Amino acid sequence: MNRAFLKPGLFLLMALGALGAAVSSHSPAGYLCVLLLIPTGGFLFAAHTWHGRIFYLVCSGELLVIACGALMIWAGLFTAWMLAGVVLLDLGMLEGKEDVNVFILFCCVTLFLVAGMQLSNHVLVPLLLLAAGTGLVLFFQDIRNYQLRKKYTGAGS
Amino acid sequence: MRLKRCAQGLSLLAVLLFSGAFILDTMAALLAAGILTCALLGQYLLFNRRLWSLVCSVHAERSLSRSLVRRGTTLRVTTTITVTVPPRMQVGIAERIPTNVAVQDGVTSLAADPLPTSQTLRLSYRITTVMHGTMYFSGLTLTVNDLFFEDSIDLLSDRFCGPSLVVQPAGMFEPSSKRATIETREIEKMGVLSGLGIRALREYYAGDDLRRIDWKISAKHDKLFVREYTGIMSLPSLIIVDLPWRGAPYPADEFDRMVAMVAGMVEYSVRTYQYVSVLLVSGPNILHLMADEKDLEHCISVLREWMHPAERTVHFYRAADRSDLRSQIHAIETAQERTPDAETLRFLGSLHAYYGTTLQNQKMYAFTAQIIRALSSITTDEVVLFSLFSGDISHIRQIAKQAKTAKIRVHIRMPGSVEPHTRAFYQARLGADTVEAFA
Repeated sequence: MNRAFLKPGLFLLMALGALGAAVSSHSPAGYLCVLLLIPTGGFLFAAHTWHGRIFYLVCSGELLVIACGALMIWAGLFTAWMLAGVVLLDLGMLEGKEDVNVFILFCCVTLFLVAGMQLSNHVLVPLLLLAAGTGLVLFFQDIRNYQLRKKYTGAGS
Repeated sequence: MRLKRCAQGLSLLAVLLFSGAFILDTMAALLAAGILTCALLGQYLLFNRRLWSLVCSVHAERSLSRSLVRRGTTLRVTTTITVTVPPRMQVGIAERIPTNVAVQDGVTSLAADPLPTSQTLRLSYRITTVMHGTMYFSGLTLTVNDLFFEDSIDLLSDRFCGPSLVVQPAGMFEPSSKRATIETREIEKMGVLSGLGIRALREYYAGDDLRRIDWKISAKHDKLFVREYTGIMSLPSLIIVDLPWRGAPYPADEFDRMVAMVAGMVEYSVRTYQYVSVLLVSGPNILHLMADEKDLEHCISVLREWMHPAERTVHFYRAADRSDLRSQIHAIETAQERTPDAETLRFLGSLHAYYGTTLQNQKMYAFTAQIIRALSSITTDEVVLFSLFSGDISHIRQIAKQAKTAKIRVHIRMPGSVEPHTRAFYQARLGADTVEAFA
């Protein structure tokens, strides 16, 4: 596949997902999704010389994810996947097989995450679970870091 | 581990989204925040995984040009590092320099580019030992960063450390027991390198070698006559270069001119006399002695290696030796005889006592002894000394004095910016035969 078309292709998919969510929801909030596609596309294709362009792209993309997620949570997830794909492509972080595997793993983890959110009626419980999960991952990673440093520096500095 | 600016911004965004989701109880904001957190965590885990594999791939081998040196010696350290850098990671590798050594020149850190295969990097630098004791090369410092995170790790385990360097002490003064030996050597040097032919006959002076007395001529004229043998008349000059101290400003353009002059003179000596001797000093620190070198390429490579401002482990400031102190005492005694004023006499008396006490305890400088040894090991009849004359010149005085003692003519080459009357002052003060500018 020609890699040059990947980025516009992913953006097109993101736009189709947002439009689909807007049309299927029959809500005035759907217009917001369509409107938010404009800054996201602008940062992606028009602001090549901007310093910190990726950060602006992520910010506008996250707003789009929220808008789509407010209409339909699965549409929000799909938009987030496409946004992640676009950002990774733009950073050159979707080059090899390992990168693609990592991206697929990311999609799977977020799928389970959203499935968990779908089961909950309020934000508090999934937020706490997410915070606990993050803390747990950081804790285990800290232990691994300690082991690495102990092995190579002689102390857990 | 530290977050880079990009990761800081994304973390802040995630925290804002989490706060918004909690306050507004909006699942969509939580979704955005959760996905962003997952992405950041994923990058963090990936970074640590790559850091682990990077550290495991590092192998270092260090070698020293010498393992046992005296304080103030300069030696070369070469470290060969093999490393595999994962993609999209920037790696900086820096040598952990032992304390109490000064890095003269060379590369002590470098950056490694990401490559699919392992790469071999080489750090090569020269250090000068400042303190005595056992120095231990404690390892490497690895600095790793990608787009989101950066971290550094000190690699101190056995596979990155060593070898140790034993630095023996070197005093400021020469031990008194060695002085006799040094002076004896110096007297031995004074013997003329003679050939078989007789150049002239002259009257005997006290101190002349008795074996040179021509007994037939002496009997004929009823006076002692000695033979003067022909010697090597065409000797190349010993080139002494006084390199400026790295810790103080120096005129760079004058230094470049001096380097060019020295290189030209070395080339001329090798081409004319087939060999050259160069002594490199920096203040009262002997850096390198290249004695009777015949290979011009080697000479030039040595000059290229050494001709730059150097680190000094020993400094002189108006350093006076025994002869200086004796002349000071003599000047004070002369002044005492001429001064009728009681107050001035009291002052001169205390000054005399001070100099007298200092003279009793004054020993020969280690630098002076080294210069004597260097001069005695080289056959020459003149010394050409290049210096920028920036800072203290006590060491130049020592060199000039020892050369004069060994009956070696001294020619000073100094920057062209020095005024003629200053040049004349230096010539008189140093006792140099000539003083010229290398402009």
